[in-house]
Amino acid sequence: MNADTLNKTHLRAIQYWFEDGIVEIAVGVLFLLLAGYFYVDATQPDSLLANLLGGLFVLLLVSGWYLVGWIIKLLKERLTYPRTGYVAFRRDKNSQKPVRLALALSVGALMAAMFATLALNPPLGLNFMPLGSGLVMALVFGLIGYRTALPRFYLLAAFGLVLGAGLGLSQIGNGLGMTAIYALMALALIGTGLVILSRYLRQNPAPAEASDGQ
Amino acid sequence: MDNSLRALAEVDRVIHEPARATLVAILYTLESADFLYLQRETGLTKGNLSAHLSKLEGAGYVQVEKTFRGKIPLTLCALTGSGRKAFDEYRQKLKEFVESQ
Repeated sequence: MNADTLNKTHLRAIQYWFEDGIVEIAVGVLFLLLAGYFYVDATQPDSLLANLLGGLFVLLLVSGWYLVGWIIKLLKERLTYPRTGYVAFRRDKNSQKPVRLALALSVGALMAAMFATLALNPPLGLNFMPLGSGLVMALVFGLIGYRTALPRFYLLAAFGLVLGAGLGLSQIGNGLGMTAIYALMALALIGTGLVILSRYLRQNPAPAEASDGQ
Repeated sequence: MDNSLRALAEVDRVIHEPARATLVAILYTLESADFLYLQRETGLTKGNLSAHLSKLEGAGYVQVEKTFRGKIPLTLCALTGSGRKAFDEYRQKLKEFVESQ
């Protein structure tokens, strides 16, 4: 019983979290809402709705994050836990939380500085916002792929990168570029999630009795 | 009996049984898991799993909590502090034995 065996057991538990595609569906819904926001901002920049959404952007983003959590919890409680069981992940007490927090803050500050610089001096012929978003998506999905050893996240990362590069170099503009990247990524996520979910539901039919088997 | 063999003879027999070692290894990496998840991951029958969990619970290594999620019964299992310590020691003893060969 060595560290490798334990790592595999832990990896299996992490993979279980993504086994049903629900996380992708929930994040896809959030991306669709973001696409809607960017669409309103790009097409009706002076409208009351765009100003309202702009003023409440941070609040909407935080609410969206909670919405994702709520969708995941709701769907997992109804679909996953009755079929294949429930797990709670261990909080790493002696973790490198401060290191991770510092790293996340540094990356966030770097990205904000990059976006601000590019917003003030936009490079000619380059839509930096969809390009930057595509890079961030590629990074995040790539990291998830690395952590979970699930190849579909590498594909999503590659898709984000291609989308970001394509829209960054296109003539579509930043506003519609952001709409397109979030909408297309949302479709990819929801599509992937639904395929995984349908396969999961086929492989794991609903239990006959309402019990956890004990 | 040399020291390495003595170390092997002294391993915790509650954990040393393969099904229980698997159960403890799964729970070691998690905060808790329910009966259904453990059954699926170990491939044990309900009766076998129940018996092994009872043995681990009897030794104070696993805490079993019977509760409800909505109207659905839920049996949550988690490794206790002493279960975690016992598993650490068990791994250490096995490692010492393997390295001495």
